Amino acid sequence: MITDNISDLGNRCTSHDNPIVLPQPLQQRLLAEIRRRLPIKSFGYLISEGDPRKPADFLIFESNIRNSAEWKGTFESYGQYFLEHEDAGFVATPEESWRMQKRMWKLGMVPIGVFHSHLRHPANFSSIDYEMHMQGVHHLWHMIVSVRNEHNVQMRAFATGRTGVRELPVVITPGEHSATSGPHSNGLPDRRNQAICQARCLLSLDQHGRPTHKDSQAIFNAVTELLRTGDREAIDQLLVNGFLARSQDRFEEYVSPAMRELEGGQFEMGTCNLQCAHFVGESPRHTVWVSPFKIAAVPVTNELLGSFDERWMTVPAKDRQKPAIGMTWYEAAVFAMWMGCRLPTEAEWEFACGGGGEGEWSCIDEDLLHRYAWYSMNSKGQAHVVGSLEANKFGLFDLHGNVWEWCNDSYDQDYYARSSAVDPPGPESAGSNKVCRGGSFHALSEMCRTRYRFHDPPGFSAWDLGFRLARNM
Amino acid sequence: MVKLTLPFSQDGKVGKSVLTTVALQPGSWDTVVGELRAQHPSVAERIFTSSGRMAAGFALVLNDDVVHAGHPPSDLRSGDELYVIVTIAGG
Repeated sequence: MITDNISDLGNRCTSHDNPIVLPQPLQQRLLAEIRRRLPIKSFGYLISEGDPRKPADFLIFESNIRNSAEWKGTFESYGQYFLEHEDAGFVATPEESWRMQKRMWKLGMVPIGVFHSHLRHPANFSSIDYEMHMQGVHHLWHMIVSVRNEHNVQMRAFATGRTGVRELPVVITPGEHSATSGPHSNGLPDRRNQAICQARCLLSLDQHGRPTHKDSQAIFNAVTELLRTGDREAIDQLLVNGFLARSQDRFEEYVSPAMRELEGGQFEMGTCNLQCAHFVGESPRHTVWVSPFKIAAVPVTNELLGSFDERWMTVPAKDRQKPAIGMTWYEAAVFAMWMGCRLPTEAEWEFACGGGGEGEWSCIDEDLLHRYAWYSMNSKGQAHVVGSLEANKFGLFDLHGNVWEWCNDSYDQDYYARSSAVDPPGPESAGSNKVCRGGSFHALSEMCRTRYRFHDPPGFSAWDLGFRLARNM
Repeated sequence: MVKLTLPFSQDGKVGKSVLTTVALQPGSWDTVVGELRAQHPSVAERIFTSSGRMAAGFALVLNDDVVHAGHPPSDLRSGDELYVIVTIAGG
């Protein structure tokens, strides 16, 4: 537990927020090398001639003694996940560490960051990462490269201190052939007409009332731009009486029976500074009022999605009641909208999960978590049928574990310091990363906590990332 | 003198000048550790356990040979070069 002066890292923008500047060629070389080594975990140093935030090269270790007699027990003490996955975790050998040190001296370089890859987890900085990082290299930042979606690799960098952790922005400096935006008109009438024209094209439906266009990002953007025009006639025609024409019927038939009505109310959101440890973005704890809302008792299943999206129609019968996964935030948001719903806000999600209480869990303590959550301790590495464990006090299932769940909000690690007290909608930063909550069947218990925040780009998808529907009362 | 080189500055900063070099009197391992504790308590606290072993996350190199954990050098002579290096680990 971190209990000393939290203010140097844990809760505000500091010089630690200076971005990591990664030249694109270096980023591509690093990712290519990590992919080439799959399924072996990669780890090493990012090095520079002295600039602490601008790596010039990287060094990857070849040997990992995580499973040696000296270290195996240490890793297994972190829980079932490390018992089941002998490829989880890394320790460099002293001999190779010495060779690396001499190589850096020879190159005139110094280590400025540590990196390692996550094969199954998102690019989060967990307690084992934090504790082992703090042993020898707390003066360096730590980058985690998640290859849980090999085609959409995610990188996150963290600055550590004795008093907490902050996520650092990672800026990829473009290569020689960076794309430049072409000329475009700023004329308002043109933009309005363009938005309406775009919506007319992208919001079309087939004879069964399903969207004909398959690019959810394009659909989402078309809806956003259409609403921005404020053109009531076009909005009614293309959206209310067009794309969303039968959404109320769909909601009543397919979704409403599984919805729970939550009265809302006041609760304490986040984690107080002194308890934040290595968790990023959870403080300050602050009072939030959420208005009454409806939220689905379970995540969206393959069966529900398969009723409307042919890609999910071929899911084997045994998996139809499992959570739908592999959906981008755009796909989730468009599906929710088309079903007459929306994604829950982050505040709604946390209120729903924790039952409005002050604890870390919807149950009394972590020892009971296995009765409520499919996670690394009991999942056997796979998603499970929704609603097959116990519900929380609101009658909601699977908020802890099973699959991560997209929330509607954009993510900002400092948002809690300035969010509105009533129905916070999330920061206004369109296109930025979106909040994911709850952990998954692969997650360590800490990632399943009610307060735990993570984020991914809206175009990202993963095999343990799903969503749940919500709606205003 | 025994030359001890550490891979970080005493204030923990990174950059071009990240090495700390300390000159210590020759003697037994315990003597050398004791002298380092007296001269540079914050450095010693970081790299040694209370029993004088290397803390987790560090390894010791003597004259280009890695010293295995739990087997510290018996005697350190004048001219010996000791390096404390970092061994990275994580989940």
